[in-house]
Amino acid sequence: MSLFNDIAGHWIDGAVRTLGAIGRGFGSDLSADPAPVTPYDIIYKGGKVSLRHYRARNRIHATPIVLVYALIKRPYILDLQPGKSVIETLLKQGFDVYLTDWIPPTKEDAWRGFEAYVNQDLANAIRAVQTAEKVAQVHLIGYCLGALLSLIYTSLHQENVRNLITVAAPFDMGGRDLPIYHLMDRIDQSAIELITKIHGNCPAWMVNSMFTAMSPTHHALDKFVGLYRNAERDGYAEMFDLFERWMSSDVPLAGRLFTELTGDIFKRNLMAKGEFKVGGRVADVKQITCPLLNVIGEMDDVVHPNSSLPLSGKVGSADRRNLIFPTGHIGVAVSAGALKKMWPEMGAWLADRGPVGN
Amino acid sequence: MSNQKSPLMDDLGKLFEATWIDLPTAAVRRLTAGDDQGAVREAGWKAYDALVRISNEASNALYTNRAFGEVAGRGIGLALRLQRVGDAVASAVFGNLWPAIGLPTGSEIQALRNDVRALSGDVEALREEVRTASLQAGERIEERERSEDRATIDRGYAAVRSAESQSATPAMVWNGFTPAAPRKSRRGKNSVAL
Repeated sequence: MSLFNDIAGHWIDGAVRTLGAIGRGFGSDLSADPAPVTPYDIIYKGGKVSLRHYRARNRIHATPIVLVYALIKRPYILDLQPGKSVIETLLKQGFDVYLTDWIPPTKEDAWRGFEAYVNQDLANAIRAVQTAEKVAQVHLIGYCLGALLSLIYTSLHQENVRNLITVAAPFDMGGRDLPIYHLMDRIDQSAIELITKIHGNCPAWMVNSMFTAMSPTHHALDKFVGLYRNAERDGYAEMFDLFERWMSSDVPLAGRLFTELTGDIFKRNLMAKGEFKVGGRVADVKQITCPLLNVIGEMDDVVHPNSSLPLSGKVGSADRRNLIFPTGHIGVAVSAGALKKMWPEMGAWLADRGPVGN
Repeated sequence: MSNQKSPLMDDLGKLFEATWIDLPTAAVRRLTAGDDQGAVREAGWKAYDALVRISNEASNALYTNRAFGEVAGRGIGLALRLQRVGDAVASAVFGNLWPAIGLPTGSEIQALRNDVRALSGDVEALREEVRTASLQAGERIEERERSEDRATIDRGYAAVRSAESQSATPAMVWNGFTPAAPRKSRRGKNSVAL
């Protein structure tokens, strides 16, 4: 009976966690983050971004990395545990890393769209790095929705970016490769506008529901069975707890950004068409001329590989490359294989294209 | 005709194989040949994995189903409209009814909560001020008491001295000697004056 008892126990723990998350509307505040694994300083705070600076012990590369995290969930997934940290991996390669920690928007921030996030917050954060480091350009790495922000930023401010790496970028949303995309197509624009009219922003619980709906069996049962089956594996249970905590750390999406994301990027596919306007200017990826590394998770079930693949063919860069790695969407950040091979390869790619010396 | 099997059919085949062939075979072998439980467990997990994949395929099929999509999409739209109407009705009815019967509205309660929170902050600040002031007052009182004590002692000395000076055989006459400050340690000194 241990099998059923154990799985039932894990399931009840999960249900309690979910109830707790429902109690706070799935909204995560900054104080609820676990203690940071890698120490950092905050060098800039303005708008809805707080910029963290992680210092390499043995810095080799003069150009720092600015890691643009997604606007969904908290960024500690990139620095989860010693030995399982993207930040740690990049620091070990001799890069100083700056990470955008997006501050959850409140109802008063419903007006914020891509213009505010890219041309104000991200632009100011990168300016802060340029000033602090006394450099003209930075290496930009964007993950998921952060990759979309990075693409838009680089399209509009190419002169500030030395090299661009996009990881799981939702670029071409014209295809309907994931089943959930079909369901989202059926939700009309008026319903989406109603969400922002009622709540101001897209509430965190809605963002969480969308993720849960992508794989209902996994969230309802399979992950708990997985915990039972892997209970003997060293560190699995601890990692599971941390991961679950992160999974319920959703943050709301600012109202205008949510409308632009669903309408312009997802339904009308304006980004891939080169027609998406930010602050009156077209953010066309043809304007990107710096080297581009487009990293794709082969088994990504949040941003389908077909949504990221066309990017390298559309940018204006002569030096462009796709790096396809056998991992999923979140595996890009936490899987042992990605941390051991993929991120070092990305570091090496940057090192080959940047000035050496501190 | 295509020879490619759909993933759903493939998983159904695996489930059938695990539940009707692998599991019974492993169970029989365990009973007759005394094999360990490993084979039964393995067959059980194979069946479970196939079942999970079937469930995933089923939910994917549901999402891609046009009719389900239409119903879900309209359902979400309708739910949101109902919520909007509900919010509007609630604010119209309760916004007027609540004050009419003298009950506070949600925003008033929130404002009151904010006031109470601000007041408790003020009380805490005042308490801290009082604590600091009472500490300072205590120190001042102690200082005053010390100075009063010194004055009393001085007055006592003066009285004693005046009584002694009037006495024929004074036991002791104060000669105005004040003891010097204690000498510093000489440990660090290298030479000694002879």
